[in-house]
Amino acid sequence: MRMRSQTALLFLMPALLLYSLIVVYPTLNGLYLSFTNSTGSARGAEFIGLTNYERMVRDVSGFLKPLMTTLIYAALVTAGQTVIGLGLALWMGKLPRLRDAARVALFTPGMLSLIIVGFVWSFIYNPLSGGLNLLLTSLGLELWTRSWLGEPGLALPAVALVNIWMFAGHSAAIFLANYLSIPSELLESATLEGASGWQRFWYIEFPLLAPALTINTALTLIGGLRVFELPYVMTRGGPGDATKVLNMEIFNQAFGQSNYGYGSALTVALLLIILSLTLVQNSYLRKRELNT
Amino acid sequence: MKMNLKLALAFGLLAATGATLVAAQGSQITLKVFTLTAPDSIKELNAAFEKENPGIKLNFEIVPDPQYGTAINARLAGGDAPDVFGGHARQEMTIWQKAGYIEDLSAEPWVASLNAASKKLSTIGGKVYQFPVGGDGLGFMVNLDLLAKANAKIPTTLPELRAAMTKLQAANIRPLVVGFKDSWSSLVWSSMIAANNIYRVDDEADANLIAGKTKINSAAWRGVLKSMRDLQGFYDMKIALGLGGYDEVKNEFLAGRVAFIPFGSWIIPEFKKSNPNLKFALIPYPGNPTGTKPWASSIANASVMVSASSKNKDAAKKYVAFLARPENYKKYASSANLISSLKTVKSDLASEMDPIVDAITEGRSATFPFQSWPGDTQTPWMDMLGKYFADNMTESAALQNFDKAFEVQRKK
Repeated sequence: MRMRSQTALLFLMPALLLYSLIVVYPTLNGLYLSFTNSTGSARGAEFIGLTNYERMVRDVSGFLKPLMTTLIYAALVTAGQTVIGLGLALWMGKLPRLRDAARVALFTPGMLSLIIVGFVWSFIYNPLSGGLNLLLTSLGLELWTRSWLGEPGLALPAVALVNIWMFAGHSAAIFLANYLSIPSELLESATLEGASGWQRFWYIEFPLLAPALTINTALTLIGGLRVFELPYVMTRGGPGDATKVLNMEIFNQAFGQSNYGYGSALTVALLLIILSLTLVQNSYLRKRELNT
Repeated sequence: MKMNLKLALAFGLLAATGATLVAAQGSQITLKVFTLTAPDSIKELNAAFEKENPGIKLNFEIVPDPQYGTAINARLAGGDAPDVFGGHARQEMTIWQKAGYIEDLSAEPWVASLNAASKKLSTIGGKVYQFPVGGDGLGFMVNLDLLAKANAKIPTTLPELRAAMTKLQAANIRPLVVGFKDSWSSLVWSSMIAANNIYRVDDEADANLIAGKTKINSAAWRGVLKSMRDLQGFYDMKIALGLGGYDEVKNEFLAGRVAFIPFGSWIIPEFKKSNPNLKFALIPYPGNPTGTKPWASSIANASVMVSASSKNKDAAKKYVAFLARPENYKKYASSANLISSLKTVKSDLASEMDPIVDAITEGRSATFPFQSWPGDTQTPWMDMLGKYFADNMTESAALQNFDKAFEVQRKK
């Protein structure tokens, strides 16, 4: 029996109400706040039109530079996590006996709290008594020791590496699920035809992993652009502004300086940037999927 | 069926008891207290308050820094203000007073007992808005064993400090650890240098700044920044930029791996508890020239405020008055190692901070500038310090940027 649309709507109502309450309303309210000078004070806020957005496009240290840092961070994480995740998936795909244990081990870091991971890695990166420098020293590589979070050129990659360490297992799990669905006859016949390991990967496995690549890069890119916790805990945006990502500036404007209006405008901008980049990336990768 | 008389009576009694219980529960107030810090004695004090006020139950919550600021601001903005809440002395009080979040406490009985500095700190436009729970001294924490090992003496001037650190380096001991990653070390250190080189010679320095008669970008303040950079031969700048100024620096000192760190007196009880074998002292920063005595930087600890929107204002004020009562306050301040904010109470302080207390008692101390300057100047100052060191800016360029932020706060 087909359900009438009114009945269906009735069943959907509780979920729709809840969704409207916790997603739609705050989003619309945030959008409205971005057109005000709200400071969160008991005395309310005034509508100021596009003033916050005009300020934003001229704000080098509070918007343009953090935006650039965010984009670089997202690129580093997306590239690193995809390549490492893919490598791990191929490795696990070829070792069925180790696969389950490896999958659990690689998945575990991503289940930890970002704040805790940030603190732990801060200690590992500590230039005086941190584990990484101690390890390098014990291996006779003292010249390689660094102030990992203290050198402007190193700090952002050092934080991105922690992100990659945490979530490479997630990417690997997605690639692995896709990899296991590749018909083994394809790979066997390629081997019989004399294809090398690299040729099998490049001409068969990699093109057939296109759906997993689309999902992985989309998820990683969104995660990279939304980053906040790791740089907040590990560097506070420093040294200087070297790791100040856009979400840190939003946090600082809203909760540090009580500029809820300007903070909301920055949030709206970030949301639009994430949406546009994800759309462009998805449409490109979907086309690639169809071509393969 | 006829109801048995005894049964009816029993039901009646039960109903009456229930009604009484409901009524009693109705008159019970739950007072929400939300703060960033409290000493060990707070449990005992809170229990005594509840005993003295059976109609008031405390819901006491501590969220330490750095999360506290975010937590309390979110609650205030969200209309969920606790009845009583804490702040960083003057820092937030001015902002919250303007926003209408906090209650005028001028008529409270403890106001008359506040010492002059505490009253000034807590007053806006002639009205008192907070109870400051006490003061701390900022200075250099010295590992006395390491100093003795290097055959160096406790420095009392800048040339002596340089000499001591040179001796420590010669003995292969790390002389100084500072952490600029979060700008905490540079924030407190700069206030110590300013105490010795600006406030020691100019009583009106802050008044002139606030009145707009002088700028921060001046020879004196440029000297403060330069002084920190000049000593980088005794600390590695790259290491400093990669190190957290609070926990990571503190841990190095606790582990006995460094002779000097910039810190505050509130940490002394924790040091004594964590490493009872550590022999240390907190001295006023010897950033002063030869022939003068070093000045300490003093900083008000947390403060307690009452929400202007509280439905339990009387109970909230009663709680603050209870904490400020001399016998209770002495317990609070002594347990937290705080310099008293009341004229009528002298707290018991750790002997390790005697040099700082002596300086304060002799009038050789200046208030932490960010508690005198308007609005929130501490955040832009820390941002400025971070860029000054990381981007190798000139003192003039760094301070020009800060002057703009200061002007914004001054005009608010």
